[in-house]
Amino acid sequence: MRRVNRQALFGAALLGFFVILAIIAPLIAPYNPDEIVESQTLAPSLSHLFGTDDLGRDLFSRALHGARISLTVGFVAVLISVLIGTLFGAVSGYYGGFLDSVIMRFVDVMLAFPSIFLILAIQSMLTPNIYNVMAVIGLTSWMGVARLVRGEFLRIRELQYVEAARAIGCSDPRIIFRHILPNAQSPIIVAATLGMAGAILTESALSFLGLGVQPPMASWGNMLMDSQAYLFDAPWMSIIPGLLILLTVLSLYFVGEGLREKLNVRG
Amino acid sequence: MPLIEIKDLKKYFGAVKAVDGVSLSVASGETLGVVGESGSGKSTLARLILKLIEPTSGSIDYDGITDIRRQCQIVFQDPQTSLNPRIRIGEAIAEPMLIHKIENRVGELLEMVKLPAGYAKRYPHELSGGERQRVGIARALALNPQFLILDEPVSALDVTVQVEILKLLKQIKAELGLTYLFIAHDLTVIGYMCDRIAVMREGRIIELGSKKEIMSAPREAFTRQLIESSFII
Repeated sequence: MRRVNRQALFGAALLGFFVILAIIAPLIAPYNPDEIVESQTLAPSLSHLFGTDDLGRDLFSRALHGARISLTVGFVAVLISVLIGTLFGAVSGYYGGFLDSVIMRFVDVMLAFPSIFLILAIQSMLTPNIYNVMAVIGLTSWMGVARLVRGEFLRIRELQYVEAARAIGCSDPRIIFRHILPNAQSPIIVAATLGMAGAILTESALSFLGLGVQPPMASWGNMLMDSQAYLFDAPWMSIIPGLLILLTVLSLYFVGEGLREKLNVRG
Repeated sequence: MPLIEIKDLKKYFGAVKAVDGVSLSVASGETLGVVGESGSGKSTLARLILKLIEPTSGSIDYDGITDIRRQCQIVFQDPQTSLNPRIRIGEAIAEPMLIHKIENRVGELLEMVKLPAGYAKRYPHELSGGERQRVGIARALALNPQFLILDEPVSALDVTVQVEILKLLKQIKAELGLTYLFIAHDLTVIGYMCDRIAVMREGRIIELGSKKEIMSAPREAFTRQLIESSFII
């Protein structure tokens, strides 16, 4: 039973490492990430671990600061989506009936839009900045959580301890937040972990297309955008942020799958 | 006037007539048994009395009961699911007192159901089925109710544990002067606990009488079947 999931352990360790690096980035970054410090497109060397980019900025410093942005955007976006999804799902599953139908049809409508186009459409109307990126990703990715939480509420509300809570006179909010939600948290945690991987990918895609985090602020996505013209002349410019995105997303998937197994979540 | 008087109570779930015209009264201080197969509407009747669900038609009158949430309580069948797995025993028992803002007497209640005081800090999964059922009883008693519905309180337990719980319930009733509505599908258990017995089938009460009448001279063939089957085990 207590078999340690190596993949999840690896994912958690790598993720933890990235998070720590992101937090202490200003302390350990050798250069100002936005400052031109050297000649353009220098290959990785001892003085510039990841080389320099097309403007002569230090890529190691940019990657560290980019981790701050990418991880923060992913985390906040997922937080927004989990909060909205949980609220809608809880109300839908707990009260049922007309309210449930309305909310679930709204979820269907939201899901019917191809999300990346929806995000692009909204983003192109807004000023692209980091806060809008978080909000837009969060506001367009809560539907899965809503369905999941609704399902959990439908199951748990029929259990006898919920009926017992009603019999002793618990109010609806008390039943929802004290008796049902804590017992629905495992699948939410799993969904949030996997959702963060998705949010980081979306942020990268948006920034890559120029609708996300704006230069000169570094995110892994817009570092990739900068690298487009130098794929062959300076491959480290694309490989490094690409690898960082890959490793982060992979780690999150490993951790998510590990949690799913550990917390015994179905589906 | 009886403590609870039910007149022509009906509860339909779509086409399913879960309770179909039940009239019944519960006298103060008695133990009324309701016996029947699963799906006969016993549990629905219990939930109607507690106003956990609304009836389709009919009435329930309560004498001297003004706050059902305080004065009527229920003990559930399945001790596996009747306690929130994330809430400690002590908190689960304290919750009704917290909600109704009355003095916390968890210690006293644990003692009443014969559980060690240290159990207050434990989680439900650390307890056996019988122990959990005692916690369910303590929670139901927390608000000093007058009327307790026991919805198959022992049918999920081992036989030896069943006897202990039934004895405990009898003792508590005598101590606190409670009125019980005891639901079961097993006439042996009902016979041990109850003064009067109502036999339910397909949402109706088909026979109602004193324990002696029902056990020794059942009128209905279905009741005879129930009696025979309960002694085979």
